[in-house]
Amino acid sequence: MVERQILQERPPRYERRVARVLRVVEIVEGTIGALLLLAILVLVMVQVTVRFSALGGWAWTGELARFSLVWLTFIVAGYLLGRDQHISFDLIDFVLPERALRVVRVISYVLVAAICAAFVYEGVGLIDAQSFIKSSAAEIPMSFVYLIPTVGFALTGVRALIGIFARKESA
Amino acid sequence: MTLGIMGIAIVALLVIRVPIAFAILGPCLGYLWYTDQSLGLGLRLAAQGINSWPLLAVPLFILVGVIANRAGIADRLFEFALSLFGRVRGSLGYVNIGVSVGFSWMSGSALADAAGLGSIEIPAMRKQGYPARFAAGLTAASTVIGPIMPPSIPAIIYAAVAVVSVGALFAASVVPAFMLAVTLAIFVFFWARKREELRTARFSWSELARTFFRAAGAMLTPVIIIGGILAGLFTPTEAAGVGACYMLVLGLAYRTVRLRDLPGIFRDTALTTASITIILGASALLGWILARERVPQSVASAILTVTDNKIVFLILVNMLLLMLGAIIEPTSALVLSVPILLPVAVQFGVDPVHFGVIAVLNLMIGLLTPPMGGVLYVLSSVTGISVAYVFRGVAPFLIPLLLVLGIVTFAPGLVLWLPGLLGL
Repeated sequence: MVERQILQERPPRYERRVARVLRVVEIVEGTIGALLLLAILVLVMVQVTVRFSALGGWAWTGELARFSLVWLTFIVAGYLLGRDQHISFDLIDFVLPERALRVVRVISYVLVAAICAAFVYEGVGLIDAQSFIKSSAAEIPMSFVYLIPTVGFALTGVRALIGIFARKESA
Repeated sequence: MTLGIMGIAIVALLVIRVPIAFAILGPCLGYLWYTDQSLGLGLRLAAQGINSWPLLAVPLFILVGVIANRAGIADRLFEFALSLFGRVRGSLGYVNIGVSVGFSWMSGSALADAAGLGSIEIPAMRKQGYPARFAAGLTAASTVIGPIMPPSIPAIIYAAVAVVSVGALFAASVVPAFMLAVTLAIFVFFWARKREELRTARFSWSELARTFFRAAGAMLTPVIIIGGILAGLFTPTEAAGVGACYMLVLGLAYRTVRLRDLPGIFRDTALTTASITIILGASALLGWILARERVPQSVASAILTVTDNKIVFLILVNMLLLMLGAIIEPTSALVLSVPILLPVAVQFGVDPVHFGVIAVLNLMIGLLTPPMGGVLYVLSSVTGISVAYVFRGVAPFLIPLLLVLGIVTFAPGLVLWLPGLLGL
């Protein structure tokens, strides 16, 4: 009897699967974010060292560090949305009752999903248009530079969709 | 017309709690599509807004602050300050301010300072018989020093949005930061003068020497970071990198940071960074549209019909920014207000670096006031004192803070003296 009750209280199997997949995605995103930050630190230090040792021609370190910051920003955007850690204007939380708040949350997730979809569309267009261009110093294909933000928007959009359908306690 | 709809949409999305970055990105992209700009321009502008060398200082200075917090630097500074000021009446008040100044040289965020210092200072003050209200109020007020004194995350963000030199803004912030410390200390002096019940410790040279050596490594950080920048040895981004490496070595040497903590430290820093930089990306998009529509020029002419007096303009700006700071967190407030207000300020003859110090100081004071004062919430959560009680404690300290704001606003010479001297 007790066992059955516990089973009934557990979320359905598909939800548990989604949660497990999400956890893996979060670990991957978090790890990439941490590695990009490490890359920024190392590249900036290389730049300092090179400048003091008067070696020339290392402009690519600065460029790669800057790209790393762009990638870092977008690659963890989904993680932040999933954990409700994006900076937002929270005044409404203090004003509205719980139920109304839930409705507003769903609307907000729908809008974020739509915005992310629009940016994925932008990204695909940009990747297509920039396929022949390379960055000036590190000669990275610009389509790759814009690929990562596009992926970031896609992952964020998926989080928003999950947020729409998530049950009250996990939202 | 399109611009008006875009503005209303941004406000509507903000109100229904769409994350600020997305609330700006969505309507701006709508504008670009509606005005038939080329596909991909929106993403390109957002990415370009982050693709900046000076902005690389943001993650690196956040990293310095995170490691400093984990490494227990605040504890060491606290012990040293206590052995230095311990025998003065109201000593813990001065210690509180002193530690804030010391910590501000390695941290550039008021919220990080509140979290790191609040949990040490407030319990220590209460234990020595200080009223909780005074302890919380002073701790909150002194966290404002952190983001004014270089390195400062809001200053880097302002510099990126306003396209001014980070180094010049850092140099310009040094005098105002010390002014804050001194006025708060004067406040503590008058408060403590007649309170004989406050316990004091005996002064001992051996204790001073012991705590000095324990804090010496930490006290070298500002020499590297701020000294390096002001002496022209490093750019702020380079100084942030060197500072992060030094802090890492210090944490490992103190054994308060272990190698296995590093993945977590780097991940947390990456997440904090991204929550700020994505807003900067969005703001680049917004800035492009505002410039295209010549919004700053329209706002300037509208303000000029109301007043052509620089002092009246600055008072209005201060009031606006204080209100904005009380409801929105500083990064967002900066990216929303600076692209519009700065061109107007320049028309009134205000130096962009001076304007940056005014803007950052206003928004930091906003962190101490309800409804959205971030420092109040952080201190409440680390000490268990209610937000309303913390604010009641802060309220009297707003007087010295606003006094400094007034001086900084109307005495640009004080602010611009150091950058001028250093040729920044």
